[in-house]
Amino acid sequence: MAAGVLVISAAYAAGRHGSPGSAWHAAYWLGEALLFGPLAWRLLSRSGPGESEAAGLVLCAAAATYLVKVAYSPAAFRFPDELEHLRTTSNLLSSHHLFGVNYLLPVSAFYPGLEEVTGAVVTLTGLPVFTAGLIVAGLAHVLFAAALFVVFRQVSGSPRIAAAACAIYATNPHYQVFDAIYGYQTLALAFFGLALAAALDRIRWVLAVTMIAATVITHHVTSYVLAGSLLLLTGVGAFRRRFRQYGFLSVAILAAACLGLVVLWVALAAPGTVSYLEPTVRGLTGVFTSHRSAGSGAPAGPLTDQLASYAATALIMIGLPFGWWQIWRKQRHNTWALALGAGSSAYYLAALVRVAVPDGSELAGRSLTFIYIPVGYTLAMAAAGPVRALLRRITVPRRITRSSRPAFAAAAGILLVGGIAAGWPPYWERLPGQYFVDGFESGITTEGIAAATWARTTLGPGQRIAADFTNYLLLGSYGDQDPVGDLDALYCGPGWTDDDEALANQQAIGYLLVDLRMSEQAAVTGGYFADSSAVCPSPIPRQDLTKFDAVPGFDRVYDSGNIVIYARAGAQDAP
Amino acid sequence: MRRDTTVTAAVTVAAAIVLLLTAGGGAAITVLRILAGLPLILILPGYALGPLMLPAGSGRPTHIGPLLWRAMWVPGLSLAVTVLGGLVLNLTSVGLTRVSWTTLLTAVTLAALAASTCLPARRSAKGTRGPRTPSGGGSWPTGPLVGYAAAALAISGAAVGLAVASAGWEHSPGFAQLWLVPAASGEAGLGVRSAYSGAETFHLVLRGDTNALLSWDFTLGSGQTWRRTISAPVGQHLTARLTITGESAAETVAING
Repeated sequence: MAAGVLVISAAYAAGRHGSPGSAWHAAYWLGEALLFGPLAWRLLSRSGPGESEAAGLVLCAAAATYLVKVAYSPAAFRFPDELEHLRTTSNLLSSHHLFGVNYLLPVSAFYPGLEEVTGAVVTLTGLPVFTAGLIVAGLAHVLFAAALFVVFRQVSGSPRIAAAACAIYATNPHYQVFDAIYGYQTLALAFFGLALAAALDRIRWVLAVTMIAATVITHHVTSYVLAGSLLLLTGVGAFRRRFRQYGFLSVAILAAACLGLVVLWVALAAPGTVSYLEPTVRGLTGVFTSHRSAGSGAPAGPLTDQLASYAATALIMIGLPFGWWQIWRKQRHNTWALALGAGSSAYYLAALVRVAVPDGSELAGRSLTFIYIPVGYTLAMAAAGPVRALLRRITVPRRITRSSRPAFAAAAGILLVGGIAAGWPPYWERLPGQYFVDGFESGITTEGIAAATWARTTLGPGQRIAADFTNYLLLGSYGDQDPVGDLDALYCGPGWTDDDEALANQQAIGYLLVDLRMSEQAAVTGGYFADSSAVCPSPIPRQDLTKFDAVPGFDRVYDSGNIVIYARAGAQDAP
Repeated sequence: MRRDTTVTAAVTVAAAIVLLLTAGGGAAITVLRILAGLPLILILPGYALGPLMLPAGSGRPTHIGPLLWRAMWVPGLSLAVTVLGGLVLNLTSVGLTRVSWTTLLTAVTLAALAASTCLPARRSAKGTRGPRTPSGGGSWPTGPLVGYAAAALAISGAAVGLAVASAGWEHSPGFAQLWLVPAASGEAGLGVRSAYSGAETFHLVLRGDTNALLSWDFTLGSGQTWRRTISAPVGQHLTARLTITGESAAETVAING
């Protein structure tokens, strides 16, 4: 596994050196194979891993995948979500209090668990926020893997199935990077897993409630999924009419406690969550109404990536019923196993969302972080039983092998490649190093960071600055400003109109940052601004971006070649 | 009192003393604070709370080895204590500071240790043992495994080292930052910062409404800054133009005083 990390790190280094050729892309995939190879090899071996080995392999895989994320961004936070949480952390460190205003991700201030822990590490040790964040996120990533293994191990009764379920889970599109970044979900997942582990066999009340409370304080969606999971367990227990057995009345009480904490937190501390999640919920309801967007769910990227993604999806959809069959045959008296089997059916709903909902790819992708938990278990059960038996019958030619191992190895490869292809970072920045204007991690440059740092030291913190997406993130994090990232209307068009003036006044814009590279490169992400519905042409004509030189009331106060900052007279206070 | 309780309490108090008495400082102090701070946040509270929160009647699940079970809960509980404790600190006027964090985490750890010593010995002993221990679940790795682990650590270290080293390889042609910002009382701040990899010589011209007012030639190394405060009378239009010697491209800033 370590060798896999080294090979991937070498591929990343080659990308940064400016030589991301096909050989280094191949090296990246080789590294992934080396990383997951030992786990797959031991799971497919005749004897299978023992107790300690299974746990060790799962934890080592978690640590190795985390190092892959570290190798991608080893010197500073670059992922957009990381920059958003960097601002909440900076607010905490400067004010010594929680719930400060964060214009980048307002809702993150209401879920400060990650920032509290990171802030404590920074405050007590003197480590930089980046290093402290890496420690906290890495620990959370490995803890989550440990908790998952414990849950799967206890439910399945087999270390091999538990490790297989964890391995399948690790192929989910966001496991390697998005669920390991410095983001609130990364830490909340650890608490989520620990809360489930605390409810295994019998409920350890103090532990369970502590972990539920920590989840609720750390991340909204994770706490909702935790409540949903406990409700599902309750429902399955009710279906089996085994309330007394295994204490499922206790699970019902725990689910109610979780729901109560969620409602209490949203009502008292985080009312902004409702407006934050409302567009997502409205988008989801589009599945059942007429709000459809043709083709929005198609996975983008090269044909090979698309094929791998579809193949992985098809494999899972075909495999799940085998898992249900096996669970029903072998574990119909195990409420947790039944709940995991039932939960895995959400994968089909996610697939529907992917193709039927506007922005469905992102929604479905995010949900897979949670849906892959039951999917991993159900597929592992399928592999352990009916699929193995089926493959032994049909594997041809029998003279070559009677074993089902090659088929399982191929399936594991498809899941891994399909997951990475549909995951983060996208194909065009799978190897870092190439610059793409407003291209997420690839849009971060020293020039942008320098402009943000200049704004903090020269203009002072808290200025209202309009900017494109990448500079909006940099200004809000490194720059300590209160930026606005969705004012594409100010940039589009050759002149400064009365509507522009009114919009700027309404948003209390005191400064306006123009990144002239928007006139040189088409937007690889589809847009240059935080508002995904922005309608600027791509690239934006140069004269549209330089029009501010001639607008009365604008002073051109900063120029670094690609980035220009204008001061706007008559700005009001922030709304 | 059990021996490990005494040791844990001693380590906690020592960490607290280090953290309360040291702030800022050089490399040695930083190392000391890291050695004291990380365990106090990530290990000690969970280690102390474990016997309390996992008592005899609700021990670990049947199939889970004790080492994994304990290793999972110690940092997990510590993180949860920090998250929940931060909310409490936020209610105080002091807030989340070095002193308040140290006090809170030390108090929680010592209180948990004190409470656990009050538990009946039989409960404590049962609480660390499940009904059935899976084979190999609780043993430490020995022999060749230690060698494999050391090799894996070395290779992983090389991977991270390569990543950190290569972080500086990202191609950047270099740039200079030029600014002209109005200040109070009819003045303006004019500045240049070089972000080229080597030393560059710059030519800066400041113009009024019609003619050049001032010009400067200076050389800046990477990361160096040049600043001046200039007069910017009300109503006067000022333009500053920066070029690098031998190049035609220019950066321009302009303000109305």
